[in-house]
Amino acid sequence: MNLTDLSKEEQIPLILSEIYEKYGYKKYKMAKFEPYDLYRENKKFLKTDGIITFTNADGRLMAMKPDVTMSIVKNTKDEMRLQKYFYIENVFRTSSDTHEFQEIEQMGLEFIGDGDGYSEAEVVSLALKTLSAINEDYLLNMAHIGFISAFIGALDPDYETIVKIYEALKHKNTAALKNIAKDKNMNEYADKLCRLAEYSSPLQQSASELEDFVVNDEMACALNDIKSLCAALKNDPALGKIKIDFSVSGDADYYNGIVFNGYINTIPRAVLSGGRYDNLMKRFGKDQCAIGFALYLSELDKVLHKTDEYDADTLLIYGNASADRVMEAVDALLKSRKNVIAVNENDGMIKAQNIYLLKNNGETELQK
Amino acid sequence: MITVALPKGRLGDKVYDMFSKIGYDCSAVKADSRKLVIEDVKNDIRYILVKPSDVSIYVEHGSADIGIVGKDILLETGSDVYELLDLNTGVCRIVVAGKKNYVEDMSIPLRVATKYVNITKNYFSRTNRVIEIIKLNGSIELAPILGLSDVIVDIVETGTTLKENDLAVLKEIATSSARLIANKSSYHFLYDKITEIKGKLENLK
Repeated sequence: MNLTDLSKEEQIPLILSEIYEKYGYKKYKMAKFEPYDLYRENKKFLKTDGIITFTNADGRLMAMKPDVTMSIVKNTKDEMRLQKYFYIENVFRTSSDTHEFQEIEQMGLEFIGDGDGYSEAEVVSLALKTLSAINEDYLLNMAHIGFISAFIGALDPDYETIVKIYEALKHKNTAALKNIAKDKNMNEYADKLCRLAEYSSPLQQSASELEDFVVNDEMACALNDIKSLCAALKNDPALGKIKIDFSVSGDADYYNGIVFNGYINTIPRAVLSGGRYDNLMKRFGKDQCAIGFALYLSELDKVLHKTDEYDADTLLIYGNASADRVMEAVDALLKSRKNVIAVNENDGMIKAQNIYLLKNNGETELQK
Repeated sequence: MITVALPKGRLGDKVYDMFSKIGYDCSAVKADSRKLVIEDVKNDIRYILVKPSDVSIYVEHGSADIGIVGKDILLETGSDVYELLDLNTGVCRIVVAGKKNYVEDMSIPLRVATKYVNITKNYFSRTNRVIEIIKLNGSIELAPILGLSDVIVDIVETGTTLKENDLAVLKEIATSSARLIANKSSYHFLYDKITEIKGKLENLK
C-alpha cells in the first residue's frame, strides 16, 4: 500500500515519525497506568483537574495516563546526557467544554540534554516541519517565559496581581491591564504592558524591537536567547512563520525559556504547543535541560477527517450464485476496484459508487 | 472574508451603529431581523446574528472570526478568546441584590437565584460562603420577592427595575461592557483586517 492511499489523518503520524527518526528520536511507549503520585504534585502542569484514577490490586492509587511528558521525565536516565524521544499516545483528560473525560490523541517529542542553543533550534525547527507537513498555511507563535516574568517581576506586584497580569496578557486584554496599572499605581508601566499584550511581530523583527522593553538583566538575558534562536534558524526557510506574541503562556513553575503554540489556518485552536521545561525537570530532581512539544492529532482530525459519501466503492449483488462463483467474481473486481462488498440482494442500505450484478455465466455486469 | 458575530437585541442595535460609523454598513442587518447571515461583499465582511450569550461560543469555535459580546458573558462562559477592546457601551454592573431590608442568616446556606451560575459560584467560593444556586432564565428579580431565593446575582444598568421591586444592591461583583473579541487562530491569520477594525472602533471612543 502506498502512503497516498491513506487518508491525510492516517498519513501525518507516519510522515512525522520518519522526520523525527531522521533527527535521532526514538519511539517512546508509555504504560497505560502510572502511580497517581507522579501527577498529583504537578497538576498545574497538566492544566486539568480531571485525572481518571483507580486503586490497583496492591491498594496503590493509579492514574490512567493523563500526560506523556511527565512520564518521559520520570523515566529519564540520570547517567545519560542526551535522550531524544517521540511518541504517539492517547491521553485522558477532562474536556473544558463538556467537563466529561475525553480521549485525546497526541503526537510529540522531547529533547532531554544540554540546554544549549542547538536543542532549542532543533526542536523549534521540527515544530515548523510538523506544522508544514499538515498544511503550508501555518504560524508558530512564541514567547519567552523569562522575558515576561522578569518584566512583571520589575513591577513588584503581589501574587494576585501577577495572576491577573498573566491572565490579561493571555487574552490580549489591554483594558484589564490599564485597570490593573491604575489600581496598583503602576501607571508608568501601563503603556509597556499594553504594548506587550498587543505585540505580534515576526521573530527577525522582534530581536531589535524588544530592546525597547528591557528593564533589567534578566530580560536582556532572555532577549539574547531569542536573538540566538533567530541566528540559529537563519537558514530555515520557515523562519518567517515564527511570530513573537506574549499571549502564549506557560506556568513559570515548569517552563523557563521559550514557549510556543502552532496554528493552522481555518483550525480555530492551537494544534501544537510546547516549550522549554527545565523547571519541571528540577521538580523531578533531574539536572538535565528539556524542551519538547505536543501535536494534538484529535484537533486535526476534526478538520482533516472526511466522511465518505459511500459505504463502498463497489457493491456486488450475487443472488443465488454459489460461494465459489462469488469468490471468483469478488477477486476479479478487486483487480480494478478500490473495495468490494458482496450481498445476495440489494436492500438499498449499503451506498456504493458502482453496483455490479453477478450473472449466471459468472460474468459481472455494471448496473446503471 | 471575515465573519463577525453580532448580538441580537439592545446591545446589537448599539453595535450596528458603531460598525456603520466605521464604514461597515449594517443597514441590511437592521432592516431584516429574521435573516441570520448577512454578507457585505464590497467590504469582504459577513455578519452572523446570534443570541448575545452565544457570541463568544461562535468565536471560540471559529465559526466567527471576531464578535461583540458583553463582559458578563465572557466571565460566565470563560471562553478562550482574545479580548481586544472595551467598547465602553452596554455598561452595567454585575451585582448581588436582595430585599431592601434583607438581613443575612449565616447559619444556613444562602439561596441565590441567577442566570450567571459560574460567576455566582466563583464569587461565593472566594468568600467561602455556602450557597444553593437556583438557575433562572429571566425575571430574576421575582425570586426574592416570592421567597424563592434570599438574593439574586444579576446585571444592573440603572437600578430602576430593582427600585421598582423594592430591591437593593447588596454587593458589586464586577462591571461589564461590550468587548471586541477574536478567535485565537483567526486573529493571526486575519491580523491586518482585525487590527484595522479594532483601530477604527478604538478611534470612535
